[in-house]
Amino acid sequence: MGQLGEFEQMVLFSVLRLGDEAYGLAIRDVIKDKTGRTVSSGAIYTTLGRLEDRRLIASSVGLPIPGRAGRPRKYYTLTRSGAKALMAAYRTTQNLADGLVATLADLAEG
Amino acid sequence: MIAALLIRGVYAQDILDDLDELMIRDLQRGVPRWRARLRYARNMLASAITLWWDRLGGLAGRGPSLLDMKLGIRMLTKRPGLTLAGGLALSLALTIVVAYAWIDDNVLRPSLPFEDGGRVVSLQRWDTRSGRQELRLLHDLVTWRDELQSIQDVGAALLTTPNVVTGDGQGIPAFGARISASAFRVTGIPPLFGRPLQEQDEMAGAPPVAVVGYDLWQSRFGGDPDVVGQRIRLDTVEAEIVGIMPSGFRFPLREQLWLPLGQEASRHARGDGPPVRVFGRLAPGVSIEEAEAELAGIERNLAAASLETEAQFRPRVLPWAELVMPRGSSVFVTSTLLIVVLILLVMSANVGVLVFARNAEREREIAMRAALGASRRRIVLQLFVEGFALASVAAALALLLGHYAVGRGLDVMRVQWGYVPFWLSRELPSRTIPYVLAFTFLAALVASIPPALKLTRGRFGSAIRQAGEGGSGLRFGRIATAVIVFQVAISVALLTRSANMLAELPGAFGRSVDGVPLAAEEYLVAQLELAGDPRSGTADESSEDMVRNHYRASREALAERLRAEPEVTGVTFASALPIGEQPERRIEIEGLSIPDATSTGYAVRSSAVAPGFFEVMASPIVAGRDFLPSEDAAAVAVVDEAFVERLLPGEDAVGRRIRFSDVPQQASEWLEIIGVVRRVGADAGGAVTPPAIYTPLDPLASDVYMAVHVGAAPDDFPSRLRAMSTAVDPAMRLWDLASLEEIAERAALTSRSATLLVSLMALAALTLCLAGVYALMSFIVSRRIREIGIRTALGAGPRRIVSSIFSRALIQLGLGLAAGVLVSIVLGGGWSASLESGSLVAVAGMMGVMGLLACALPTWRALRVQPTEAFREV
Repeated sequence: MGQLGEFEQMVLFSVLRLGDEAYGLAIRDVIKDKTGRTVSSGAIYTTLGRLEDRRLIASSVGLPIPGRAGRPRKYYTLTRSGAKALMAAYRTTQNLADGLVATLADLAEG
Repeated sequence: MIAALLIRGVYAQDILDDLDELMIRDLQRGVPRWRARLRYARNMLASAITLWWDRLGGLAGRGPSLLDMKLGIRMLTKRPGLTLAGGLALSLALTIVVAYAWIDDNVLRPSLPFEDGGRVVSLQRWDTRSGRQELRLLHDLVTWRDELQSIQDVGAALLTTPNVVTGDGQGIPAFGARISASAFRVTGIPPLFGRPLQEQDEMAGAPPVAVVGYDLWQSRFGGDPDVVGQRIRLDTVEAEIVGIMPSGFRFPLREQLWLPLGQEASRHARGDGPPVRVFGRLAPGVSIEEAEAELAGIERNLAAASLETEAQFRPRVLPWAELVMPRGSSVFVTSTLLIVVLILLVMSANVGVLVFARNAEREREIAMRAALGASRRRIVLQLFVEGFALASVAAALALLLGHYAVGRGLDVMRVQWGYVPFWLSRELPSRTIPYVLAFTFLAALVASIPPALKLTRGRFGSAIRQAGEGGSGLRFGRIATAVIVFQVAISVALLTRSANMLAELPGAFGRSVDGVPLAAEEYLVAQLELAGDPRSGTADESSEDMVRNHYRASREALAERLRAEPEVTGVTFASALPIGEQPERRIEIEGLSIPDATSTGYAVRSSAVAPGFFEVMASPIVAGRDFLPSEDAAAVAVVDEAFVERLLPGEDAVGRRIRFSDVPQQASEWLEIIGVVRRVGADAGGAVTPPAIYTPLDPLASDVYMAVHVGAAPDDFPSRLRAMSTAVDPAMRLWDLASLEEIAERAALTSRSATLLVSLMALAALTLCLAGVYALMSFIVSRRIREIGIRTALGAGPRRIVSSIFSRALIQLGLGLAAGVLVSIVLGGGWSASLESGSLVAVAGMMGVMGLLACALPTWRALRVQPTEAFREV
């Protein structure tokens, strides 16, 4: 299954958060909202493509949208293996941080 | 279109659609158009780079590692020749990209540096018959201001240059405008101190007021905020300073002083009055086209009411920043960009040839890496990173060079135009960085990928065996060979051009002057301007004469006062300064046919001078005599020695007759030559400057230069001169008061900048071409070590080896030289002209020698090959 990079985790969490409304531009907005990072559309789509190749997400084509010259948007959903991978990545971080959050906060603030 | 070019691959459509959607969303949210565009461009370029990087990463299985980067940078220091030649060439190409980014922002798609600066517009009436703008618009201004709905705060600016007289009695002319109060609302910039002009300042009987610009405030009032409320004298009238504008505010073009337009507008009939510029701000939500349509409607109604046939005039609405330079059409913008891309591609391909030749020597290393398990993709990626490191160094240099070039270009513009429009920025725009990044990437791709692919092609699996044999099937392709010939030719042509330009450069580099040396630093010069300009269209003939006579009296009075000063040894007047800037004219000489039937006559530099000019300029009359004061309208002329030497050699010029042949014959009378003078002027002379003729100065002429011979005058003499001039006539403007040396320096800036540019390009071409020849030679030697060894073992002498190996390089060098000489001759205007200057012969010779020197090191290496060494390779 392979490890998930930081950016890949961000994209997967955004897909999860958006539910049925997860498309490129919306994912970019969520990342900007939640992390303050402005990322290029190119970065979003190459990551989505890579995640889809690894079957961690699945895509479907929606209805045509007037703002996009009548072309439809592509929507993404988390697959079962995607959810597993994201869960594993999150657990790893959590396990590593277990019992250290308070110390870390102290260190960071002090 | 650029987006579609840069963004390719399976995600391209999704990304392009997203970019459009984001732009629409931004505009709907009220984000200014320029900011929305900026965001679009940033996202587009970042996406393009990500996609290409991803593709390369995919090519290699994964992206480049830190080790790749380190290796790339190490290769730069390991191969200084390649780094220098390739880096210089790429940095010049990338400098063009930097300059393009600036031009795109400031010239092709300019905008005023205000909030919504793109919505400030100029309202024009275009005269379709004369193909010119009708500028007498004061009458129209009233109608437009009252009726237009789609353009708000319509106002006009009448440019003026009053003498600003301060407490020390010195009057210095300043760029100013009589302007509608709405100008300050249109720009939306509040004053630094005090208040802007207001509508009540324009009422009849309102006390005269002025708003002062930041630079003028600093230079004339020492930046004192208490100046608000004080009175200043502008020519002969006094006004109260009511406000100071912040730095950078120079609306409408370059102004530093604003006075109320007043009741000027209501005084004139249609098509009458002084020239003005009309401005306004587009109402919210209105497009330029809609505003233009409304203006056209008003124009039609007016025409119908007055029964005029006004089809002659077409109203136009343009963004204000396009007042000076019209916006480039989209075709123009695209084609300019294409040219920039092309230059970059050619330069990168040249560097690619070098990279290939140098990398060929690393074939064994590459084969070794392949044997240790590196895939072809991995190695191509490594070579790309090396190319990218080289291009990045070049990009950093290009940013510095580009910044310098923009500043220099604006300086040249200031010399040529007398001012720089305020919206042209000396800074590089923010979009430069993404532009340069994208182009650096492109340059690295072109310079490294084709040679890398060629190097690792086909028999890559067996490369280690082939490399071990000391010879291989790798060849220096035909394209690479053609590139080297091309480089040699271009170098010869460019070097010849730059050598010729250096030879023609005016003598501001302290070169000796041909003829009489003129101590330019001893002369103080200034351009004198009429106070009430009779050309403004309001003055009739008699009042024009009055103004001119008044001006003549003021000028003479100033000269008298100056002559009374102890430091002054002479004062004179002329229509142009003797610094090689006199207008070039064509003349014919009585009794002498014009040698070239296609030309209209002999080329001469012509200026009109006052009696005594030659004496003040220390150029003695060598034959005949000077003009007499009574001869100001006589048909006489004085010529210089160069004229006699070149056009009437061995003859007595005095008494011959000449006339201007570049005007209709009936308008030109014969002028009798009454004297011959030594060459006048601070210019270097040189073989190319045409001979000079002088005619008597019309005492009523309006554009006149004054030259004062002051010797070693004290530093405060220029301010004393200004005070004297103001005391004689407060409205007489002295422009550009400086030493003749300084003015000559400034005039030389343009040609010196052009020379610098051509020299830099020639230098880049030269290094590229020498590096190319060197790389080719090294390549040949490294390919043929075994052959050389065997030949040596079989008893071949050094001469045989050298001639057999280097014949190809010599042929290429010779072909390139021949082509370069041919191009130079065509560009230089034929055989005789090219050979006369001698630079072509010198350059071709130098290139030949340098080319041979580039062969020297590889030759030495070849001659040192021992037979044992060659057989050890097997």
